[in-house]
Amino acid sequence: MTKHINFITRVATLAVLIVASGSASAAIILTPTPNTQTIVAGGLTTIDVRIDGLGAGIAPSLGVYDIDVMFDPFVLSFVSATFGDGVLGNQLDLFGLGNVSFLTPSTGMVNLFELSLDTPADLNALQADAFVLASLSFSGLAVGTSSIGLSANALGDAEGAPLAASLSTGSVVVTPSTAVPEPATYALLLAGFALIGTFWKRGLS
Amino acid sequence: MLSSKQLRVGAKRDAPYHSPNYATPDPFGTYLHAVMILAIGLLHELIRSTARHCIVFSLIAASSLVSANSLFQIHQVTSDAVDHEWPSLNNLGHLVWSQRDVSGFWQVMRCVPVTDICDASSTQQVTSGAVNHERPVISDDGTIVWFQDATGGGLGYQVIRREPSGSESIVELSTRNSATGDQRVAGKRLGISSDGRTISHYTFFQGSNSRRRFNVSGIGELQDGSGGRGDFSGYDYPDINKELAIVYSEDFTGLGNIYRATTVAPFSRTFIDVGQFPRIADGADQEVVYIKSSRVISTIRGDVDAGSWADVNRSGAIAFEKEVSAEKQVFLAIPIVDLNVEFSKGFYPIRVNGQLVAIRETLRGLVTAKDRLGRHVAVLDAARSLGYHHFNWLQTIWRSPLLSFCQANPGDADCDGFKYRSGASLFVPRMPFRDSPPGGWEYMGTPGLPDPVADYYEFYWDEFFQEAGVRGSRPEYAERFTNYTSFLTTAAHSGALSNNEITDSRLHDDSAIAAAHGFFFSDTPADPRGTIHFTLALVGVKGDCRQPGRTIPDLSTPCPAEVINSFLYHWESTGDANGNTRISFLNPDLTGDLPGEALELRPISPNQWLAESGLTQEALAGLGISFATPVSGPALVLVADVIGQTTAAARVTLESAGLVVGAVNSQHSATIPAGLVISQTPAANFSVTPGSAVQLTVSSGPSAAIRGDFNGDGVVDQRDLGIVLAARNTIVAAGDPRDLDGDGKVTALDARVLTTLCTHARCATN
Repeated sequence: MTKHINFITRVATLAVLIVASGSASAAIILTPTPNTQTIVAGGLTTIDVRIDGLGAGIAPSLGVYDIDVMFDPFVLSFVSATFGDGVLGNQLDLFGLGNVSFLTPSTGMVNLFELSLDTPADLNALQADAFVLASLSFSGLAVGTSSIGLSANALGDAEGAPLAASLSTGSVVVTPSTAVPEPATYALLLAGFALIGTFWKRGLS
Repeated sequence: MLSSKQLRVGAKRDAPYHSPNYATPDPFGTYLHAVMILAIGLLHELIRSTARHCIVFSLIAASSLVSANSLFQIHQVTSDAVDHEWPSLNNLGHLVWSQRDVSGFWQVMRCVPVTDICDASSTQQVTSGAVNHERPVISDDGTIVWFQDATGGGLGYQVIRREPSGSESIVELSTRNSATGDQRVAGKRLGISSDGRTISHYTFFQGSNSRRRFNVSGIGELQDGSGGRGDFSGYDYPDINKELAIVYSEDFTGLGNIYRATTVAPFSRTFIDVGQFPRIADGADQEVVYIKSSRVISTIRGDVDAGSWADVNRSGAIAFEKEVSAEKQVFLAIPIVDLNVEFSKGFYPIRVNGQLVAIRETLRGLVTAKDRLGRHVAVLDAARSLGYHHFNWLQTIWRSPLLSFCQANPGDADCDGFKYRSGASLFVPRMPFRDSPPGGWEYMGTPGLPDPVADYYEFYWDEFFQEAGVRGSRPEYAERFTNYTSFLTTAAHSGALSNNEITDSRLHDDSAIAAAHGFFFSDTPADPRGTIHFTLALVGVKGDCRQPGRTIPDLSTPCPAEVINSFLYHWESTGDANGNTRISFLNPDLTGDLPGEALELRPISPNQWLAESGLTQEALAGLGISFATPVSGPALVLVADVIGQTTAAARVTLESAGLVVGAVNSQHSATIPAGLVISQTPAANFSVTPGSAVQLTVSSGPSAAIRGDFNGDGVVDQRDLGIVLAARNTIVAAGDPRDLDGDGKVTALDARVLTTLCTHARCATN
């Protein structure tokens, strides 16, 4: 439990620091939004990392981001991630011609990096003002609550100038799964018998 | 000379006898009642490896040269006066390449060495016909895939896969929609994993747009990491390994960025170097070889040799093409392997009807192999890289009295106390030992069915035995036979040991086999009975001598082998307080009562081995056995890290370590001031022989300033972007050109700024 509290404290502190470091008015906001707030242990949830408050058809637009998504590794397990908005498409690759993206999971954190190769003019004219950067899938590991925090290593506009943004947090609650007999118990038992049988047979031969 | 009384006293104390002159035992005077239990081996439950005495030696295959960095032996495979290009090899050392036939068409050639390293005698032509067959690759089961150009371009392109059975299928082909003009063009470059998974590509042209897809058999088109189809436009030369790691490079005729990634996230990639034609090997290290400045470069072993195409396998063997007298020839660079032999001891109880009748000390010979960088090499790979099919032990055993003599003269004093099991005899050809057929001999499992254990443990078992006939003054007492025992090469069998290198004679410890062949006695005497003399030699077996379907070995055809190193040890039989036989080592260094105890067994000379084994040169020749030439590995020195030093300082550093400065080249660098070393070959911490040259590349400072042109090639493109991304989120010194926004750090923002500086749209490279 102490570890959980420490983690939540760390995420919250980091988010506050980043918001405080913003030099401009924070009209832009980054939000981690779980599609399912509460899941059972072993269940899945998808967290959309969303940006709001960009200019629609005008600057600023998002040209690059380098974001850490933090979670409690004792509660959630990272499964996979996809870049882009499921409805609007990838707003950093407006023509589907490709960009540069990295996905780097580590313990309790997933780094998302995406760099648009589109021109500043195209980004400013065609990029939506709000869209999903990436969707991350997690599975419930153990009962508890995981805060979902964001930390921006860099957030840049179409020209590479820094963008100030507020960073929201989210959370996912993992509840116990319904108690049913665990097949794993039987599997272990059978495996034990199989091992004994193997050794017994080898002993005979 | 020892007396039987001395031995008897030793037996009563129930302690190993320490012979003061074990090296010259008298086999006929007092050690007459030998208990015959054949074995070297181990009882796994009793043994823990605590070996500390290690014998190390190296081998260099015949007709090979040692590479400049002393890490490889270089072997020329082809020499005929035509071009040979695009060599590829699998983990077994089998090679494929293309060479021009008399009509000028490229044909695929395959070399499967049987008794030696690949050469012209073991090469066969795979393809024929008036089309070009280019860039072949081969998997471990012999599947070959190549690019086939039937027309000289465009729609004639195909990628063909030929199975070991000879059946062929099309992996990629070119097509065109005559109505729309859209074209799908098969890629010319491809790869294969050791387990037969292909990676190929095609480019789809639609109007002015084009897309390139990388295709992996069993997986399909690689995704872009965002759920979409990956577009690999601008990339080429893909290769894949068994662990699904991939490597590819930018699609240039010149140098380009080389990346390593996975099939799951092909764009979450690691920058390797700027070079050409990357190939990737199996294994945790994911070794990549590529061509840079007309040199073959390995990510593990640095600069290998001059060359223009290369491939690598899991043991670090590299096949490459190199121009010799205006023709391109195929070469092999094989890592020089140090073989390490360690001996340890175990105890093996022998029971009859549940009753303990004998305790036998067993000798375990553990062989491991390492390359000159200290990296483990699988023993089987090491053997094959040296031209052997496998390693094995050759054991000679000499004892007295002659078993047949005792059977014929049961009342003879020398044979008193011996009662062999009814109907069992050591020297009738019931010993089904020789290289086992795949699946093992029948006696190992259910008769008529392959043995699951033998299937599971890859092993080989050879055995010869013969009656050499003459020793001392009583030839009728002399019996000798030689046997090859087995190598086990799987990690699963090695218990706590790792790296797939373990060898022992496991089957000698199998009581079922012992019972079947009467290797022990139902009423073994408590008295000391005799001495058994063993020699043990590590051999390289040349060829697959297994005899499928035979339970009785055909000994008429020798299985050629080379003696690599040999050892000598002795046993004596004593008794214990309970009336059981005890078989103990006589050598002082081999005594002790701890299972797993490390034993110091020193190599003996070939002549001593011959003398002790009682074998003659003629007898050896009849067995197909010759001597290899072990060589001592030279003392190696570590290459110091001189990057960032001036040339003069680097020279002092290197020369103080016994190395010399080789070629010094200059290169523009935006990040390293002029006059300082940018890179070195071999890299720091490589082990090389004293006197080796270290090549230096020295910065000549930034090129004519084009903002963002970090590599000084005159354009700002993806290569420069790669340089920024490689330094992402690092703090740099003021003025570092990669810090384009001047905030003291290289971040994603600098990467985005760079995209606005690129010479071509989307930072394309051309």
